[in-house]
Amino acid sequence: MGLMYFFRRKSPWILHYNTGSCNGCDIEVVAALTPRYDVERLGMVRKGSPRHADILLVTGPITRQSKDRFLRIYEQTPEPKVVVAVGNCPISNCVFNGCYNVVGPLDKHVPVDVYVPGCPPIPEAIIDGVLKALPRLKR
Amino acid sequence: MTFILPIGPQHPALEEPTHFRIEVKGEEIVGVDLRLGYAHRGIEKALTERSYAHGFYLSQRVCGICNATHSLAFTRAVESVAGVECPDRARYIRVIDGELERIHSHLLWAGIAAHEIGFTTLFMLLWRDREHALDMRELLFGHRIYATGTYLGGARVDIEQKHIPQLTRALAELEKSAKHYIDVCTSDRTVIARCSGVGVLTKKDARELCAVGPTARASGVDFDIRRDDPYAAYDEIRFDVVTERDGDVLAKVVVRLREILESVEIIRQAIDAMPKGPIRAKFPENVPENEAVGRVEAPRGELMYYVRSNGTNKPERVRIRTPSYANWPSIRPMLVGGTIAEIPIVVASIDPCFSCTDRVTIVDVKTGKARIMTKGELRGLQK
Amino acid sequence: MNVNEVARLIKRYADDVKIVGARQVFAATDKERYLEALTALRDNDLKHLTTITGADRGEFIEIIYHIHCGGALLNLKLALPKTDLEIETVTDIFPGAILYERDLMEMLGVQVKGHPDPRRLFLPDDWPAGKFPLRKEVKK
Repeated sequence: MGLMYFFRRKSPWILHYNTGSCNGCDIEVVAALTPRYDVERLGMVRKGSPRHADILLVTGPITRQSKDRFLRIYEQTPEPKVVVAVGNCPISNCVFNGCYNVVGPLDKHVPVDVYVPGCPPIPEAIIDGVLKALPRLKR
Repeated sequence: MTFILPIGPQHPALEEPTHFRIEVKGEEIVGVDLRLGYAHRGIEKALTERSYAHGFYLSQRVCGICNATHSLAFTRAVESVAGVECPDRARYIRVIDGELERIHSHLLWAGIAAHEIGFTTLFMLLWRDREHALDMRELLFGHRIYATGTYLGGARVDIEQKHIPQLTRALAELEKSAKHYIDVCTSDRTVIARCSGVGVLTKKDARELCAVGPTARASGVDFDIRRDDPYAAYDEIRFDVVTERDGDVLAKVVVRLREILESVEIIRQAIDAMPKGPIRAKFPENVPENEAVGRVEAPRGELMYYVRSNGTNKPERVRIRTPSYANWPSIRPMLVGGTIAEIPIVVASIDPCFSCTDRVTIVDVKTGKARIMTKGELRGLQK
Repeated sequence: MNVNEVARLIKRYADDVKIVGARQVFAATDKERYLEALTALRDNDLKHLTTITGADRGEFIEIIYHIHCGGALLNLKLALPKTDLEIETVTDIFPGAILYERDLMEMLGVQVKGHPDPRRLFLPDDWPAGKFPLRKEVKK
C-alpha cells in the first residue's frame, strides 16, 4: 500500500469537528485555509464527510451531547485515520474543567495521535500538528 | 413538507446539523421553528463556582470571536459591583482592544457571508485582509484571538509607544480594504442579486422583537451601547452610529463594513487621546454584597452581564445575555416569504454565534424525521 | 429618558426605586402591578427588553426585567415565592420576551401562563421534568 500512503500523505483530507468549543480554535483552523497560511498548497483539503477523511481535527471540550455524534463520526471515518486534538479543550478541558456538561478530554473516548496545545494554537501550529500526524497514516 | 436546516452548532462556517425546522410550500418558506440547543458547557453555573479572577478567563471563552467584549462586559459588571474604577489610560486601551476585535469579527463575518453566497474568492480576500487586525492584536496584547487587553481593574498590559507606527500602518490598510469591499458589495451584480431585498427585517419588527447590533441598525434602529450607555472611553470619542434603512442582507453587509471604517477612526482618536498613567486599579478578593449590570456593544450587538455578589470571592449569580440570543426571534420574519436557497445567507446575516447563545443550555442534537439538507446542498440550490 | 425620568415613571408601579450610578435604576414590583408597569414603559415607546434574568434566591425566585430606556437601564424585579411560581407572559407587551420566558421556565421552573410556545428551548426532550438546572439544589 506504499502508493496509497504516498497519496494520502501528499493530499490528506481533513474533517474538522467541533465538540462544543468557543470557536477560537475553529476560526484558526479555517484561517489555515486562507491566503496567508494556505494549506491547500500543501495538498490539504477540508471535507464535509467523514467517509472521505484521513485526518480528524477535533476542537472543543466534548460536551455530553456532542460526544455521541462525534463517536459516530469517528466510526464512520475509515482506516487509516489519525486524530488531532486542536487546542487545550480536547487535551484537558481547558477552563471548562469541572463544568457539568463537559465529558472531555478527548483521549478518554478515542485514541489521539497528535495534541496541538494552545488557546487557540496559531494556524502554523495547527498545520505543524497535521504534518506530524501524516506519518501515522502509515499503519 | 418540512425540512430541517443544518447549521453548525457554533457558527455557520462549520458543517454541523442543527436546529431550525423550516416549513415550506414548494420553494417558499411559510414557517420557521427555532430548535436551539447546542454546546451547553454550563458557564453561568460554573461562574458561581469560581473566583472572580478565574471567572474572568471563563467569561472570555463564552465566545472566541468576541472574547474581548465578553471579558469587558463581565469586567464592567464586576467593577461596578465592587466599586472599582478603571484608570484613564486603561479605558483607552480597552477601546483599542474592543475596536480591533470589531474589525476582525466583521471581516470574519463578511468572509463567511461571501462563502455562503458562493463567492469563495471574496471570502479568501477578506480573511487575508483580516490578518492585519489579528497581527495588531498579537503585537499589542500578545495573542491573535485571546488578546486579553482588559483585566479586572483595568488593562492587562500597556500599549507601547514603539508599536504605534505599525498600528497606524495596519489601520491604513484596513481602511483601504473596507472602502474597497463596500465598493464591491454595493456594485457587484452577484452580491446585489443574492443580498438585495433578501431577508428583510422591518424597523417595526426589529424593535418589537428587540433585535440588537448591526442586525437592528440595518433596519434603521438607532441603538448602540457605545453611545447609549458609554463605557471605557467612548464618551470622549467622536463616532457615528451606522444605520441603514432597507433591513435586507445587503444593508447588514454595508452596516458592518461601514462600522469597520468607524472603528478605524475610533482607534486613531484613542491613540491620540490616550493619557499617561497607571493601567490597573486594585481589585479586591472578596466583593461585598451588591448587584450590577454591565453592557457593551459587541460586534454582534448589545451584550449584557448581570452580576450579583455575596461578600465572598465568588459571584452569587451571573446572567449572560448575548446579542445572538437576542437576535434569534428576528430570524422568523426574515425567512418567511423567502425561498429555501436564501436560508444560509439570511441566517448568516444576523451573524449568529451559537457559542455565545448556548452557554447555559444542555444540548441534545436530535434529528427529526424530516429530510435533512446539508448546507452544501442548500448552497447548490443557488447555482 | 434619563435615570430621573425613568425613576419617576416607575415609582407608580414599584417600590424601592434606587438610582445606581449615572444610568441604572433598580426597582421592585409585585404580581399585582408588574404588567401595568411594563405596559406603561411600552406606551412610552420604551420597547427594548434587553433580557429577563431569573435567580434562585433561596426562599424565592427573583425575576428581573431589564428594559433599555434610551439613556438608562431599568432593572425591574419581581419576587416569586417558591410555593407560587406562576406569572403571566409579557410577550403581548414585549414580543421580544419570547425566548427569555422559555429559558426562565426550563431553567428555574417558573410557570409562564399564556406563553405562545412554552416548549423547552435548550434542554433536550429527555431531560427529566422537574429538574431545573439553575436551582441551587441542582449540583451536577
